[in-house]
Amino acid sequence: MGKGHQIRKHQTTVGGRHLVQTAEAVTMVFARRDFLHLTLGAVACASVLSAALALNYPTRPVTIIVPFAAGGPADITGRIVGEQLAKRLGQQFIIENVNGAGGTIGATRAARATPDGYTLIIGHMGTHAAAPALYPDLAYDPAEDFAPIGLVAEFPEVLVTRKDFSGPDAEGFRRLCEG
Amino acid sequence: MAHAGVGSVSYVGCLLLNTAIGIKPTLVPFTGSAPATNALMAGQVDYFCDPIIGQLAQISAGNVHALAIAAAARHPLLADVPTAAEEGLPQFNIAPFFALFAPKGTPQSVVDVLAAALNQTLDDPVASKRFAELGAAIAEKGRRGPAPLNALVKSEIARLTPILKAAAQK
Repeated sequence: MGKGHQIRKHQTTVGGRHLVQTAEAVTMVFARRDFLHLTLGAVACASVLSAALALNYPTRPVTIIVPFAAGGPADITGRIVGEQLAKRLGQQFIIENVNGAGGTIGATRAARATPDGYTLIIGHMGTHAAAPALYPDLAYDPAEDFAPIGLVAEFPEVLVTRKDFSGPDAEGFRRLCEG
Repeated sequence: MAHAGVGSVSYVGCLLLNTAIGIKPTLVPFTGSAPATNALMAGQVDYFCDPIIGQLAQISAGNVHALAIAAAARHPLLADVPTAAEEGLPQFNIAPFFALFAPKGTPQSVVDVLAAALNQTLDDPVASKRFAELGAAIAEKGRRGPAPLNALVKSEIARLTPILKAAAQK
């Protein structure tokens, strides 16, 4: 925790706001060309800083939102990935189950979270492909509001029927469905 | 037809099935896969589509009947269950993707760190064994990382949107 605190403090002192103030003060005195140089310098400084911060990432626990109940495939996927990332990146990855509305509540929260790498989400075909067709008032755009990290796995589905409701094959199933 | 909530993978999967067969059954919502399976076992609903992992125990106990796998090939954990394509329903092909995302605007350098660690995860024998036990297929090498996932999200939205909109019309 102490390490993360230090970094944030560092960011406030050296980061954007301080640099912008410096640039404003200096323009009043120096010529336009000097200002340009200074601005470019500030931009370079900022990107070096962001790279340095990323080298340290993660410096505190990361939350993975699972937008479904514990025990389901999204939850199990999140837990396997969380354990592995924790082992590889040396920080805790905490699973937070945010259930409801077909996963769209959790996905909305993730879309609006601070984009600093400390809130992630296990999304799936429902939250990130089917939702726009099913929820006209969806508060996020699955294709535009996220930075994809990577596909984890695919879980093929099986059609199951109650024991006494099944034709011997799909044609029998179709006839039963049609009554 | 039982489902685990509008937008769940069971809902989307069974709507693809209904569209393939050309039926419009009563859709019965449950709060998750477990209560839907309980209702199926109790005979309160007729059928349900679910990732294989959710049904393995009940299939092997004989509490539900497995009719078809919604994939191109038979599944090693359910080798005696035919594929939907074998049953003449190739359109009922659904293996929902599960993927890791960050909010938009997350620094590229952080995305890179996470993508590299996720890539190592998928090569890890412990993790891949666990996914195999769950009946899941981990992302093949060529489909890993941000760009393939971005393309997958867009192509799945394009594939599912017309089917779901048509199926939802009464």
